[in-house]
Amino acid sequence: MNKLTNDISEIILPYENMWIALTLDNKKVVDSDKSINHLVDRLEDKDIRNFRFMKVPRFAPVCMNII
Amino acid sequence: MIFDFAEIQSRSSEAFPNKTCLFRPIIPFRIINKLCPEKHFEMEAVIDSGSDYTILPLRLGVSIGLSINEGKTESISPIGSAKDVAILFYEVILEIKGKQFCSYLSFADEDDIGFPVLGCIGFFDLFEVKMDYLSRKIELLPKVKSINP
Repeated sequence: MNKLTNDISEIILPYENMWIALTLDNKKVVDSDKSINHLVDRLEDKDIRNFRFMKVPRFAPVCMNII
Repeated sequence: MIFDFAEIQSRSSEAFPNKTCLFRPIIPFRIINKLCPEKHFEMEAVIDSGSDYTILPLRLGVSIGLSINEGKTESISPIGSAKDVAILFYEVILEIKGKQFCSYLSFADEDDIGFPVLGCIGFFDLFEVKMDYLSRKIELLPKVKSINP
């Protein structure tokens, strides 16, 4: 299979289960924090429109338990 | 509008000894303050038809000028949680790949939100969503008119 265009797997590797702010081209992680509140607090002065926010999922598989 | 699934690193296991990654339907989008369009933020979230609502972090909503006092409250029961939590709904503009749509979606405090999700209300009520896991492709077919050309 061809490389996916949405392949951010390498750059998010150090940030499992954390909030990250990416550059808008998804090429670089600018900042990270366990708390989105703290992350936005820090970046608000730099204009949050310059970043793309994401919570990095856990790297273990997830399933919803519906019982 | 077509997207690839996002590739996420994962660990091998006894059940899947050759597994190195997982593929999840995570897409980028922009949320714009309807009353003040120059205020907006971008994020990525997982498409989740099992979530009744689209839920995003309240702190980001506040950062684009959404007032906590003006949100419409709803109570939800997160899966795995014994307590109900309050979320706040707002009318915003959801922009995906340059196309803008009016969306009524919710924001929650970070203590009450696990992962941001694009759920039924606020996302699936705007698009027919086709997901093909084998080709790792997601296709969004708008069911409402975009508000920009």
